[in-house]
Amino acid sequence: MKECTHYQRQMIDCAEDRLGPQERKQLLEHMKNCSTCAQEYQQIVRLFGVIAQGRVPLPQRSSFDRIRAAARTQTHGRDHTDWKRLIRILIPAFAVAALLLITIKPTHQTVEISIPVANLIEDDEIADIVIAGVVNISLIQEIASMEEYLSFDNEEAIEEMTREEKDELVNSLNRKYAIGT
Amino acid sequence: MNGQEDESLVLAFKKGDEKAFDRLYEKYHLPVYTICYRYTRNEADALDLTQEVFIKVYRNLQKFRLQSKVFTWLYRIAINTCISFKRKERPFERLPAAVPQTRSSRERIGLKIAIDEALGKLPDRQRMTFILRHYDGYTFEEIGRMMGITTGAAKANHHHAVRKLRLFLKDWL
Repeated sequence: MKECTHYQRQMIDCAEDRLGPQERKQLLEHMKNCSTCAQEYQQIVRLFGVIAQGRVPLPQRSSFDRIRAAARTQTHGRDHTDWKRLIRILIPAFAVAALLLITIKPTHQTVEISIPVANLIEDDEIADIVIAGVVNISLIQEIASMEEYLSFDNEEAIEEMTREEKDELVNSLNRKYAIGT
Repeated sequence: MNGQEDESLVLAFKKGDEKAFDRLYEKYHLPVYTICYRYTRNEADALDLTQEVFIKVYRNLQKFRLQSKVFTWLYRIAINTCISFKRKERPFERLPAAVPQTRSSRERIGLKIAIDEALGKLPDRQRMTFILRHYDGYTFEEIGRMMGITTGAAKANHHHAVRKLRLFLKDWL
């Protein structure tokens, strides 16, 4: 008989009625003899039941009419071209200034890493600015905070992925962040 | 959703037909509001977010190159707007929305608050993945496309969300 962890991975799909008939049958069979898994499955089913009960109350039609009007007026009322130009100049200027400060006056908080840090930053414009791999502690903390986004914090979830999904994830990370280059 | 009709509307807008935006708005304002409400669980915030989304849509429609479906593009704007949303301080919060009649009023309000708190405790991307999957029934592939993440990451987000919600709501299960 397969281990409980195998069946526990299938429980969400089963509760959402997305599990194949054969796998579903095996899971149900397993739960007949395993009270822990049966209890866990019931908890997932109840959770979905409880969460599903929240209906979305709709506001009055006039609220949506105001939004439609605002979409036009607020767009027409502003010209962002100058802001964009200014940002394009300010960001590289700031990055160069920061780089100079770090290079000229290194502190005990400065560390060096071997990958281009700019590639780890989501914003394309900022990513274009190469910081030459020299970063400070606050930037390292920012990168660490991206762990949540990358979903690397749970080995179980990664284990659940198929080979293709894992390859897709790795390729996509390589493309986006140039890991290993 | 009719993708061809959407594309025609975008092209018409680019040629100066303002009514094309109205038709897109008519088609998508409720789905967008719904996702904003489910994310914030608050009417005033959801309206603010819906407005922000459609300001962005109107502003960027001219530049939209139709490389993805209009619906996916619009949902992506809505998702990113929700995720970057910071709740405003409001003097009065609205009363919780209706929950099933099988529980007493006190229980229903308690449950609604518990669900709000539990969803609010989830990290942004996990919360959004859970909403898109559980309420809107999207596949992980579709969620990945809309959120700009891989299918595997969407699946992982959902897995984390379910596990945490079970923990947060254990007293109600």
